[in-house]
Amino acid sequence: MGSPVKKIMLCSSEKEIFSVEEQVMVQHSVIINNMIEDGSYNHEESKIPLDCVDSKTLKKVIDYCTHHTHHHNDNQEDLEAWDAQFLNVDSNGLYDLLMAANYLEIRNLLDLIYGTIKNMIKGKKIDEIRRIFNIKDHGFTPEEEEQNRKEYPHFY
Amino acid sequence: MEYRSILARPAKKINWLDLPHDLTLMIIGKLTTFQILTSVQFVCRIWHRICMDPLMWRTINMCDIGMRDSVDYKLGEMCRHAIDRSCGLLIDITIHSFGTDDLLSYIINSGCHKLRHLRFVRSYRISDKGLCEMAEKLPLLEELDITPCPDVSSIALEAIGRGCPLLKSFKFNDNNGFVCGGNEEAFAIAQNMSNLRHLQLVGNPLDNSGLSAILNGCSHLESLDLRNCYNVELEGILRTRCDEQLKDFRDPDAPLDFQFWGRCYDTAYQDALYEYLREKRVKKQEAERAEKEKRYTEAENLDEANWEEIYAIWECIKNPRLLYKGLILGSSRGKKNNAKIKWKKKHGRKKCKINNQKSIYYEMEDAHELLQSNVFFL
Repeated sequence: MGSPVKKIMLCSSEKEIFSVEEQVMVQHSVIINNMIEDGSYNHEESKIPLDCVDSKTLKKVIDYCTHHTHHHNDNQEDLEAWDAQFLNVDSNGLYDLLMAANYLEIRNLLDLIYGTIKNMIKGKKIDEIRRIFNIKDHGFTPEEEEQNRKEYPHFY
Repeated sequence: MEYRSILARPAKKINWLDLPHDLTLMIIGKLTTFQILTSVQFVCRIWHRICMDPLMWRTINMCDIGMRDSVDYKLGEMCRHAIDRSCGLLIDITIHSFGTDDLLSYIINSGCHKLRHLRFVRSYRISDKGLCEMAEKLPLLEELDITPCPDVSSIALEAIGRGCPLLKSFKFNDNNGFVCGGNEEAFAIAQNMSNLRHLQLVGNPLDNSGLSAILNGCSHLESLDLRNCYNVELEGILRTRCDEQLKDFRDPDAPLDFQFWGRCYDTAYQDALYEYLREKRVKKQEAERAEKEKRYTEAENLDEANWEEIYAIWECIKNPRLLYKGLILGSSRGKKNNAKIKWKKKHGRKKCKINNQKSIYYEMEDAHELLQSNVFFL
């Protein structure tokens, strides 16, 4: 009889509890790895509160970690296709994921998100970028904005 | 609880300016120099401030620019601007296809003495002169990539070896060598670059004596790439020496991977570039033709105006009373003046336009010349 898979409890901002294989989170999240290593997590009673991560995002993050733990031997193309599908979300979703990945310190996911943002910006005009990232108050004075537009009309 | 959580997230869009500062820094740090200079820095004041920080410019990455953009923008000037912004903190620079001796000397003379990584990919206009000057000023250089670079000879390699003692990685590929031939470059590397860890010499004319000189001279060498070096015949002792001394060795017969080909000889890219330049020229010619036609019709209009005047005078002659009133003549003279002013205005503007077009043309010629030199060396 093999030893049962160790699980840990993660608690989202809506107090919903997710049970995840310990190894999955330890492998990807620096924070959780540290918690387990320094013994501050008690397997019987503790659950890790993640107050700034909502359930929907946490579920996605867990999906990511699980997939990359169990499929890390797949060929590169399949993994990339899966990642692309995984990050096919709107900019709100991407923002939440970014915050969550940053909070849990999941480096691979962070790099993936940075790459996605880079591609989102690629070849876009300034107004389009503002729309994508919902930047309404750009903070330039009207004169500066006018001057920028005059100097670089083809960028807008 | 469920109900509240649905209510708590209305369809409001998140403002990305609320993102923590360090994350914004990371995101902008991952972008290419071209993206930052053309759009990102103008998006908002917070981003602009980040983009003005010299620390953001320690790495300049001028590759991965679309073909059209690389024709439409003055990449050389853009790159100089980015170098200015780094205030001498530059550590890592990658330049794709527009590197010249001038640009190289600009980098050196703007105080970037901390430069460690220098990559000039597909920059055919780098020569011995620029590299010798560079070698004297960049003592900390660790990585140098000049691929492919037909105007560079062993003279520059010696200077680099003497001036950059920390050089660990050197890529010097397809040096048009089969025309000149010989082991000079291999000997120059062996004698002057004793600290090398990684060496890539794809398509170099060196033979067995050059290879053994490199193996003797660069004792720390870990990886060596000799693909397409057809003068090397790996047999016996030399073969075992390569296998024993090097962790990663690619022999002359190993196939060139797509990545390498794509980097150096992307013919699809060249074709697309030609096509685009042609398209641009056709557009320009069309614009010129339209301009000419416009001028022609304007001239016709002017003639009409004259005819009107003649007709008015004829009317006056027929009916002298009108002359005293000065009605018709006055109005027609006014018309004529108006037409003249209009013509002048248009003509003046046209001159401006032609001047603009000229400058575009010169730019294009420049790009063309570059392209042709590329093709010549392929």
